[in-house]
Amino acid sequence: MHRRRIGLAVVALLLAAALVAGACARQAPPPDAGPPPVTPSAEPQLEDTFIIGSSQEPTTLDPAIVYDGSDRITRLIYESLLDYEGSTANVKPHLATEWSVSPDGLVYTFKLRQDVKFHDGTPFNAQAVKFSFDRMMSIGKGMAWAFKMVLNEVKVVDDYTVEFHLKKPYPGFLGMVANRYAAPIISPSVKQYEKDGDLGQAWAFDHTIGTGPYKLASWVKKQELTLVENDQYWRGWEGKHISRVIYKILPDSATQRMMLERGEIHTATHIGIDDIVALMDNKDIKIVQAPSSNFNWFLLLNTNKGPFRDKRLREALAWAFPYQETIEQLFRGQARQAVGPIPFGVPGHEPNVFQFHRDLAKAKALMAEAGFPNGGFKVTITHGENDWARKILEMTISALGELGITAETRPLVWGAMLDNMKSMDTAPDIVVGDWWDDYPDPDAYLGGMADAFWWGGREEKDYFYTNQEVKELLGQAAFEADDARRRELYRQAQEIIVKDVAGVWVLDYLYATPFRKNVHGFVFNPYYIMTYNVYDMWIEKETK
Amino acid sequence: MLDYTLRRIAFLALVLFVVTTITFSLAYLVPGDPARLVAGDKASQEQVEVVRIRLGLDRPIPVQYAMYLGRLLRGDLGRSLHSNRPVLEDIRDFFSATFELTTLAMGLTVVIGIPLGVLSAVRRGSLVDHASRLFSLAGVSLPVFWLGLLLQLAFGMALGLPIAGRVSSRVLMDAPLQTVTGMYLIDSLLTRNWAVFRSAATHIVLPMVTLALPSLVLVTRMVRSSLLEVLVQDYIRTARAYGFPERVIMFKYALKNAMLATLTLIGLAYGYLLGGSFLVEAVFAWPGLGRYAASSIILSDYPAIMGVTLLVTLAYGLVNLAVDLCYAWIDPRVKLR
Repeated sequence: MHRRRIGLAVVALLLAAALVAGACARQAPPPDAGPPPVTPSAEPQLEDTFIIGSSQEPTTLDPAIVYDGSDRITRLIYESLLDYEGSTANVKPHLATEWSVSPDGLVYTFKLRQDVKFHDGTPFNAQAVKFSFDRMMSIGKGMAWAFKMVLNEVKVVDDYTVEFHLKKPYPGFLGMVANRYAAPIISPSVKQYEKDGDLGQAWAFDHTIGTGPYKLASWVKKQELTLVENDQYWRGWEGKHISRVIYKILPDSATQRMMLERGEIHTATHIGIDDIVALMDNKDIKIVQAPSSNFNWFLLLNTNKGPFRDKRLREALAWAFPYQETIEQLFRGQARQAVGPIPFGVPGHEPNVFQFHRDLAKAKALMAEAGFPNGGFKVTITHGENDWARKILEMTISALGELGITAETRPLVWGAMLDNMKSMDTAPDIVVGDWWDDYPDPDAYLGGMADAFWWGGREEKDYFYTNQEVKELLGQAAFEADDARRRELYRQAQEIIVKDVAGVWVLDYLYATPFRKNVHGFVFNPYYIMTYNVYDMWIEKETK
Repeated sequence: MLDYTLRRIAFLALVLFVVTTITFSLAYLVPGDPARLVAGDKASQEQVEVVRIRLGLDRPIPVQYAMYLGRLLRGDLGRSLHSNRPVLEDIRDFFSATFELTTLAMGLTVVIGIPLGVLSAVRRGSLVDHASRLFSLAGVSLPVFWLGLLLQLAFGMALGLPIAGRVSSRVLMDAPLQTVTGMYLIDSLLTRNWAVFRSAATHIVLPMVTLALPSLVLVTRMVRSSLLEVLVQDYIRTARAYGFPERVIMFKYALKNAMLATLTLIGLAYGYLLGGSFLVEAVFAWPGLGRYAASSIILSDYPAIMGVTLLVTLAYGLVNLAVDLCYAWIDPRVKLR
């Protein structure tokens, strides 16, 4: 008996020791985590390596194909003719020094920088611009769909002047040229790596020849990519800069947070809401938070099939949804209720369209009016597998439950979700979705959504929502040159969409980027979300 | 024995054929069009059709399957739709990471699990036995990803053990590693890259322990219960009556007979883990086969999914063949026919 008691005591001690170890966790520094302490001096010492933690590995590094988070890397290697200024949607020169638009709005002329070379020494010029845009259009991926919509051809005027000839005037064109995926400018020398007419796609998947400040040094799949400075970079390396970037693939949010706290990474791109809120109390971390044009959540309702063909049932769900509870409890206050389909801060946002709030009595009355006082039917919901979508899904199921409606849920990846929506045989009743607009223009937002979710835009095929008037308004607004008239057309379209309850517009998210406190110079732009202006940033050595 | 081995290998080939057929058929039942995946979401229907023809996806399914088998027999697993690299190359990179981690985890399981099981059986009701039972209960009840997070918090944050990746980026920058086998510990030993060896050794500790724990506790419990059964057998009593030393009785007579079930368990666990453990790999950012398989499934990368499935089946089959051969070695009564 005596031996057993001692045994239990030892086990208890071991457990206590493990708990104490856990509790002390935050105090002990990891061995190779941070830099060694430095003695203070007037000029702070700088770190040369910026380490990003991200759960998303690039799907390719070919700038003509990139159309997802891979631009976090490619934007450091390849450059655009124009960029957005600071945190705004205004465009500024980059590889182009100036531009002009013909009076009929059909020809955009760009003057190019003359001091730029690609990483392999090939000179950057008008031929390279034409080659790159033609290559993107031939490959037909990435932003090609948007340029194909408006662009007729790219013409070389002289070595450093290039013209973009449009099919019809398109007010969003400059925004399109500056957008995160419109940096297809690759050295024409990529032609030597062409295989089976692929325009060098297979080679450019994991090799780079851009004009940007960094070039690829290594890519160990599912582990990390390392970029090193392009010492010939046209903006030079005087002043404070970062010379090396390591992009670590860290699939788990909790791991990203711990590594950030330990100083093993300087920032992270995919930290969940709960971890962000926890990091706000950490004095070694600073958080840059701003509204974004992405991560704004809504429910798309299938108005062409199933129970939600009845507008009263759509309205019932819009009145039953617990907007504030979702924002306060699940999004921990890091969002605000959406007003209409275009989010706050995005060109074309209309603050005066009707906004639903939670009114369960009204929702139940509408259910009764539609002949379903106690619900009693089932709906199908598809959703993405991420922190945000799961939270919205949870609240949707709860709101449906209050109306007596049961839900069958189906997680799907983005491509499969879009495919499913496009055939009424497979289309669900509800899609938990968000929309990433590619460039700051209402057409990119609303036109893009209509194209993907509602009626396939240019394919003229109805998916989730049909309204001839809205179709015409959006078609007309996209190419309307008069600003005021254009805004009015988008306002009218949004009013009808909200009145038709084509969706439940849930919330606009305040995107948060966490950094170690010694990282400086980051500028958040909602259109370059999750990317970093690394060349303009610097890192002071941390003193413990 | 040779006959038996050859027959088992032939049977394994048959299993691989069936698995290939099932996986190939499943690829056509799940939602998502591979041609659209390659062409891109925004591609026009014409572009999608061009890709479909290029990939041979326009041909009848039996023809596609026959072509796939033909390539397979030549050792070509096809090209990943996502990375555009040969699937075999992708798998080689990720499998070496999984093999290194899993083999060490199984080593830990054997080295700790068997002695602990023996100790628990011999000293039934003692402190060691209680501790091992508590340990087993914890080991089987804790979800592996949660256990990983706890270990990260307790040992990563407190003791400074690395919590993610295979090696420190900074160490690798200062002392680049020359790849020989793809297993960092072996490669760094072979090339005498001590900085990378030290870093890789510390990086593997937490994922290895997390991965080993569930099978370790099962092995401990299995050894204990099998041994307890054997220890009350007549021949053990007879051996004791003859005055054989307890150590000889335990290791020469009892443990050998108690090991058969444990060996099966180890074989199954090893085969299973060689397929990659997505959760452990995700928590510790370990670039293994589990993550490759998961991302291939998410991206509907069929050639990659089929490649991984084949490899896992092969690994499972080979490990179990090895286990069966070990039976005959451990227990002379077992005849392999």
